[in-house]
Amino acid sequence: MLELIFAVLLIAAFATLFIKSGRIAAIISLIASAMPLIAVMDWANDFGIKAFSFGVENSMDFSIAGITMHLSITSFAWFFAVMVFSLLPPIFLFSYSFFEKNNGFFPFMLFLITAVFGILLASDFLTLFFFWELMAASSFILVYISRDKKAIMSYLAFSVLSAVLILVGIALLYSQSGTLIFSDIVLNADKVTVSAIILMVAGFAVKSALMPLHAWAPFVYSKADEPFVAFLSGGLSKVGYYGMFFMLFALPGAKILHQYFNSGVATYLLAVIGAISAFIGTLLAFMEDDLRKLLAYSSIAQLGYIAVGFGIGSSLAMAGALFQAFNHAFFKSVLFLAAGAVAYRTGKWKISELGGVGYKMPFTFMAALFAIFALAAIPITSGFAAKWLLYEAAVSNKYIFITPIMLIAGVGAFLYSFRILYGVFLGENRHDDIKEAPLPMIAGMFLLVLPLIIFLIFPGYMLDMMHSALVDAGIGTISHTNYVIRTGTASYNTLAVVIGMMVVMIPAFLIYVLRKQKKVDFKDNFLAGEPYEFYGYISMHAANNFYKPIEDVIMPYLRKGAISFYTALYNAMGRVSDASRKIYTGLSQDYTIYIIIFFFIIVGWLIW
Amino acid sequence: MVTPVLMIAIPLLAAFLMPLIKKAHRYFTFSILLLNAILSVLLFAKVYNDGAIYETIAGFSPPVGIYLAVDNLSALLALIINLFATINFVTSKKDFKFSMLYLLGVTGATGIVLTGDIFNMFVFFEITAVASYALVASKKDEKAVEGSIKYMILGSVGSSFMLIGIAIIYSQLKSLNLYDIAARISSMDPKMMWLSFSFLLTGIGVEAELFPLNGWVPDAYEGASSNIASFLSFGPSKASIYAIARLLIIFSMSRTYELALYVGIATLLIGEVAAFMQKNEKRMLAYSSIGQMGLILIAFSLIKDTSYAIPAAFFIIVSHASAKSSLFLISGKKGFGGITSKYVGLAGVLSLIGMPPMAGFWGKWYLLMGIADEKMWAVAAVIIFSAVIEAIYFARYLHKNLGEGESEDLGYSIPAAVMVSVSIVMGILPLIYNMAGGVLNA
Repeated sequence: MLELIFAVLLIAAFATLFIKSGRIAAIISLIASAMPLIAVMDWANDFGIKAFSFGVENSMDFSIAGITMHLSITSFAWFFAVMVFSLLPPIFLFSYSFFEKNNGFFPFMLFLITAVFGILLASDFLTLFFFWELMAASSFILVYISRDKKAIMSYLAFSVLSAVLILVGIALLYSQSGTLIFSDIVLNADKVTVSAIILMVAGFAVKSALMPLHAWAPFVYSKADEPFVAFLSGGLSKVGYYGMFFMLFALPGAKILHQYFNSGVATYLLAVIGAISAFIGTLLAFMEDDLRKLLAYSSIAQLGYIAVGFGIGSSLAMAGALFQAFNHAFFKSVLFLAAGAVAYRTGKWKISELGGVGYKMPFTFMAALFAIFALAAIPITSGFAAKWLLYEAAVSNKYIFITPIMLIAGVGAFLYSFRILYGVFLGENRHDDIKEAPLPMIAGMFLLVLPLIIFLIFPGYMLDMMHSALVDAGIGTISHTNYVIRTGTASYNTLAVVIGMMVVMIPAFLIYVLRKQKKVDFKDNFLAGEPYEFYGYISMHAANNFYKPIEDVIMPYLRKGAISFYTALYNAMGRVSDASRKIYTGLSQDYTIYIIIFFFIIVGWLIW
Repeated sequence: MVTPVLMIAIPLLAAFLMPLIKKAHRYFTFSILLLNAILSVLLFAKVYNDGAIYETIAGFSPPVGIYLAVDNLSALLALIINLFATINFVTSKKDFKFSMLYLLGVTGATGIVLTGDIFNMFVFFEITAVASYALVASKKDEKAVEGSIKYMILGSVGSSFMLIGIAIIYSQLKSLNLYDIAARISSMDPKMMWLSFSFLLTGIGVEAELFPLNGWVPDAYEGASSNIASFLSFGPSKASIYAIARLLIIFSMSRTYELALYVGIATLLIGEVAAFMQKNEKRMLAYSSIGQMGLILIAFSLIKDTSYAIPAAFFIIVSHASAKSSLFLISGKKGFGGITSKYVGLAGVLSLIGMPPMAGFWGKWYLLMGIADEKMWAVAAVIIFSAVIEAIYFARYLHKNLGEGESEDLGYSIPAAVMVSVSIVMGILPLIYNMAGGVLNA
């Protein structure tokens, strides 16, 4: 079974390497990417409801001649696999219309999927690292296609940083426990030291764009092809969190850290980092004018919430974190794809240049609207359930620093989502000549919206899905039925909420539709007598300088952020490099003297 | 009947026959190189199956006679050198003198790795060095001559150091046979032993591009034509770093290993840091080569302590030989200019920074496993630092070459693609044959 999936993915990858047409390549990729999804769904009986203990290998062990690559599926890998592989067929459906020519997106995307499949199924560290690096290599090539200097440089540098951190961590684990096989390391967990865990968590955090290791994300998210970015933000960042989940809870690193520091300081630090990511990411997001950069910072912020949950580590927090991860995978993919669809029709990325697109592209607007509801955690979406669990976990643990920051970031999420809605889709209609996005694009986006709706009404299904993962990792789950989540302090009945919302919304909608309307010209409402030409075209736009007061207050503090730190580091390194090249004077006599000096130094060192 | 002698004798003889066959010299040279590559495959197969070969020339038994000693690693290195030499020669468009020098250079490099006699090693060093000086200058412009002269000056200083080192050993032990020396090295006067080691390390280090003996490297690589820069990075430099490994094994003292580790770290750091801001493409690749040689030396300096050292060094050598040679082949013009060059560039860079499915991945894996075995965390930190530096400048290199430039010359980019595919094959082979299994099953 596994051999077949790997073979299909690799054959499809090599085949699409030589296909010029984007359409045919998309169809091949779509079929190939359905394979792992079908397999993952097929394993649902093992993990969906009933418990499955970690370390007991499934019958799907896999080896090719020679070295045994230990591949087996565990319950938490399964949860992440459902999340990641459900994204792919819709993304390829979207790509069918997005790419007319195959620019290398399809083959390397398929290599990337192969790698992700391998990472999630790995049950020894060599396999994990091999596929991790394969993922880094193929995603780097996908970034390379974008031809943007900052994106290419930052992505490769951070990928390599993540890889070497993980490799050193693996080497440490190996030298401490004498084995690379997961289940054996878990048995020898008492020998594992803190440094290995910290190194590996840091390495995985790079992929999850956790601050301060996020510096690559704004460049890459804003320049690479949208379908890839949708997968990068939705899927690959979760692979990083899978690694962290493995290190912290399956190993279990959190306990080791706790014992070493004699308190929960290390995991608390992770939660704080997550909360700060959420906070600063949100602030940066609502000042961005570039739609893709806005979404990039929003990704950093939303991924920060997951780290908060991992840091708190209680069953409530973990349920919230995994729920948030799942939601984020889908709503952020939809938003990136919607941004891609808008750009596909208008060719523009700047919010200040867009506006009124929703009138012409109503279905794209609908998909994006629903994703934004989920992102802003409005109670009629599954996003609310996830954040609510996280907030409650933070409150019940009395985290007085993290809770308010998260709440502020939650409101901030609404502020920048509002800019997407108002600046891009609503407002003044500036695009009369565009059409709705092609059908495959819309179908792809709506397929991705579907889970958000399902888990809005039935959050219990989601908690069932993660049940065995949480139980196997020794965290424990929270009590729930299909509609009701019960925590220690409260219970949340989604059915009641949905019905309540319906009761309010449907009459409101009917009143909106049926009332007598007076159409007010768009330019009327804020001009206040000023001539329209006075400010020029862009400055009149509602999204321009929308949050200027807030910007003026906080921007001076954010200017000294991580990216300027890395830039300074780069420049300093450049000066060191220039200085070091002064050693190479270009004069043979100098070099000869170096040889003689070297000789005397080593003679002296060896003899004395 | 494959004997290692043929691999040295045939190209040497062919080189001297070259003036007689002026017209078809390119086909002649190519077929000789191909023959040598096939011989090296057979030799490797034989060594792999039957164990190391020790062969005496002209009937004298050691320690008196000259003799060749071939083990797994040296057979593999001979294979790499001859294989890449064959592929690389396809790009040659020069006259018969060039072909002759090229054959001599290959002979010398092959001889260095196959010989079991320290004086023979010196002779082969001289052969390959003299041929390389001339090959660098064969581009016949100002920079080529400048690079060649610097290379020649430093190379001659280096070879005199080496000769003195050999003389000291001979005066003490009355033997030139490597195995004989290794067996009796402890009977030497310790001061003489250290002195001879220092002379030999300094002498060979010039060819092996070790810091601070590598002043010639940027100029020579920049001045040489692309295919000669490529030749330098898989031929003489790889043979000399192997010679240093042999030197370390002969002396086999913890101090010499420690020294090699420090020199390796210095070479790695200086090479990578110098390459970081280098704008000239060929010089950047040259500095990067220096860094990689440091990495190989670090791997070799762990030979005594960990069994991961040899595979680590081997995979880094393969990765560097194939990737850097192919990058040099496609360098020297603006932009990649075509799909073949683009993928060669990508594959080469990914191999050098150690990503699968390239040989560099296994090099990095084994090296860090070895370092973890020895718990040398400072070295691990240095490697993390240099890997990130390397990633940044190679990303800049890749981006710079994206721009519209001259269209690619398939005569260069196809041989480069063949070379870089060796790295891919060697990256996938460990998965098929149980080369990595030792780590898992240990």
